[in-house]
Amino acid sequence: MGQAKQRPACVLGFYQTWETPSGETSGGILVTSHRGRPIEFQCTLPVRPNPTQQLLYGSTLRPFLRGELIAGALRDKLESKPDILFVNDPDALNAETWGHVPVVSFQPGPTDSLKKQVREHSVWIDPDDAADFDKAIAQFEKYVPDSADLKEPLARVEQALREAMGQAA
Amino acid sequence: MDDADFWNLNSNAQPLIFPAPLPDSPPDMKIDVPATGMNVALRRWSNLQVETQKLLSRPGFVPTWKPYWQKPKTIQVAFPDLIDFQTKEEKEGEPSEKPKRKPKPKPEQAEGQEKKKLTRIKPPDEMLSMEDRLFYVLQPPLESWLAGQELVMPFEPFPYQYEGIAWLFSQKSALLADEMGLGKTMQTITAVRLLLASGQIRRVLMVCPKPLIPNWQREFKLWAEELPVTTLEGDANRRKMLLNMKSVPVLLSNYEVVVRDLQDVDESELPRFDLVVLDESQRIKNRDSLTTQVIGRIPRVRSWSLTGTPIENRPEELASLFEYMGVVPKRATPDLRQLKQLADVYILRRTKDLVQPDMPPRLDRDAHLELSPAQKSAYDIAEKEGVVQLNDMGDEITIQHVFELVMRLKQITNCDPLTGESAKKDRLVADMEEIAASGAKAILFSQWTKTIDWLYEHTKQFGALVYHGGVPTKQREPILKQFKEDPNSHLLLMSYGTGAVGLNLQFSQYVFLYDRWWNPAIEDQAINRAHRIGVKNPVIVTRFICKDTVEERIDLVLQQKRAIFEKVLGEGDTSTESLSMNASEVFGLFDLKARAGEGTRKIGPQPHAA
Repeated sequence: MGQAKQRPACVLGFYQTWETPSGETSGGILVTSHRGRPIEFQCTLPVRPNPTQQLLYGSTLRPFLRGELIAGALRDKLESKPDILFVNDPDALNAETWGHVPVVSFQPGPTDSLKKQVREHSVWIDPDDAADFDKAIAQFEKYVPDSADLKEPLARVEQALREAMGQAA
Repeated sequence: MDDADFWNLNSNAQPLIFPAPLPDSPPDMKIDVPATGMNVALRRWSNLQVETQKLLSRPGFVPTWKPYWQKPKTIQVAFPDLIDFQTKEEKEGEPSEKPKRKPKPKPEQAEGQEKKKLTRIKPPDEMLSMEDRLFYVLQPPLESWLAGQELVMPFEPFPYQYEGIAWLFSQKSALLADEMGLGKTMQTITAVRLLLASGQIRRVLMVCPKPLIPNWQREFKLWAEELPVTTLEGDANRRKMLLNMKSVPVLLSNYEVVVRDLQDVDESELPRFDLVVLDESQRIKNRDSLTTQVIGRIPRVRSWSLTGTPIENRPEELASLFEYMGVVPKRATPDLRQLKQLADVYILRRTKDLVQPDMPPRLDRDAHLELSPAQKSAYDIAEKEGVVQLNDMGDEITIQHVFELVMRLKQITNCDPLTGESAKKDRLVADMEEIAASGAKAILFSQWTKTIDWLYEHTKQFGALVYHGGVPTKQREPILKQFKEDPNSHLLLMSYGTGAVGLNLQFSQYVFLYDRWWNPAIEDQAINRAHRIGVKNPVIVTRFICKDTVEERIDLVLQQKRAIFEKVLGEGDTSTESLSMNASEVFGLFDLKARAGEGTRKIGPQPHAA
């Protein structure tokens, strides 16, 4: 029996946001080992933009909240930096927030986003992330088991957000 | 009327309303005046004046707004350090790269099914801390956890087994009461394995009846090969060292050793465990027994118990188990309603009918046999004399006297002691010839080791093997192995006490109950050695019952007891009716009346005594 202290060979991040029935948005990020076991979880308390903010940000409010404000707060708190970050929301696809951590969306992103393939999934990345993505995906392919369900941890994050916000079914 | 008329210009009549002074010239725009003439003021010219003002200061923007957002507050959930129980092959090679394993064998029942539903670990309802709840919510589904990415499973568990594992994983107090044969051992081992791997627990004490130690060792090796399992054995010093050794993750012991080694240990010096698991936990159903009291003192965080028969005789037996699990205060006497409420939270019980609708059936058939002439004669004499003796005892008669007569008569139905004639044996041999010819295997249960040894002499032609309490423990595993692997071995003769629990004999198609046990739950345990998960063919259970004997009368009582057992554990029974075979029933076997003071009490030997 040996206790593993070292960082897993490949660290995966799963970022998901969730809008409460009352219109507030919270976000959570689950960092797992390449085998899907949780290493760290961070979530935010719900954020509610006021009417002025809603008016002035207009259509950019949602990408700002999800891709910058909430994601940035989580990034700052994370102790374990993922090698690659999966999101299920194109509004959360913001390469700038995550620096060299490539953000991979399972949903089509903005028109300039690049379409890639990860296992059986079509994914979209920010063009600025292309180099980091190629590097990270090589690690990913080497260590993450073929049977891994890449979307499943996002469901865990959403369930945890519901639980944390007292909305668990 | 034209405008002039309206304004009263052409008339000498006194105007009704004095008009405003006329402008110097008529208005050069048409004024649309209503007929009511109410807005005569429109005839006035507006008096407008224009003045210029100097600005006193520069115009400002009110209110001011800056794009400032307060940083959202965050919540963190920490996970324990990973614990890696490496297998031999991983220790030797590079463990980090993804494994290239062969696909796992899947049970036949799982084939052809659609995509499986994932089993998620749910936090217990009573768990209040949000961090604790999130810990469970964020664990991967069991199917992916056990899919060979991290922990290899030799066989794919069934969906209800995944549910059982997930339930155990999150429970601090749990009674897994699945019907025999549904895999309580495997579910427990897997839950322990996951708890150890996730760093939730570090020391486990597993207590089981002594004959089941090899079974647990074998099952641990099968289902959790990476886990070091240490059996508490050897001399007293070694056992003491093992009990206190913190680096032993799983310590396996039997009830007798635990009681012997811990009964005199001071409270403050008792070894602490993160989890204590009691197999066949009906062993602590009596609160006053030494076993119950010693085990109850062991300091622990989690308390699990396993039994297919949480109620053997009376619903109150559950209270002792709940006390061990720490969900009722000491000496609490919950009523039936409270017991059912506790059961809903802390007991998980599934039956084969519920979880395995497609499992091959168990076919019960009662063989009502005529005694041989010599048996009949011996039986009649014994019964007649016995009843006369009992009646002669008057008020001194006790249930024990009646019980002795029952035992004597049952032995005669098994075999006439003088001639050796036996209707049951003849029937058994006839059945076995057919079974052996077809290459099938059968197991037989009796409550007497002497009967088993005697039967062995008459069934050697079927490669019979003996497995009872008189067989040294070390010889038992090879016997089971031979029975399983030797194609010439068709019959295993077992005692209820030794063979009824914990063994996996699902390759046996036939079960014979040569004589009847006192409790239907024990009989079910015995039958379920063969009728359990993995069984591929129907299991035919034959109960030998000799006509016009005490066996027929006992059978009737057992049927009634079985009905009550199902009622209490099933949909619920609001009565407090005792399940024990009471004195009246025993005396009633011979049309005797129960004497005063013979209330409800358990009769018959302890099932594990044989």
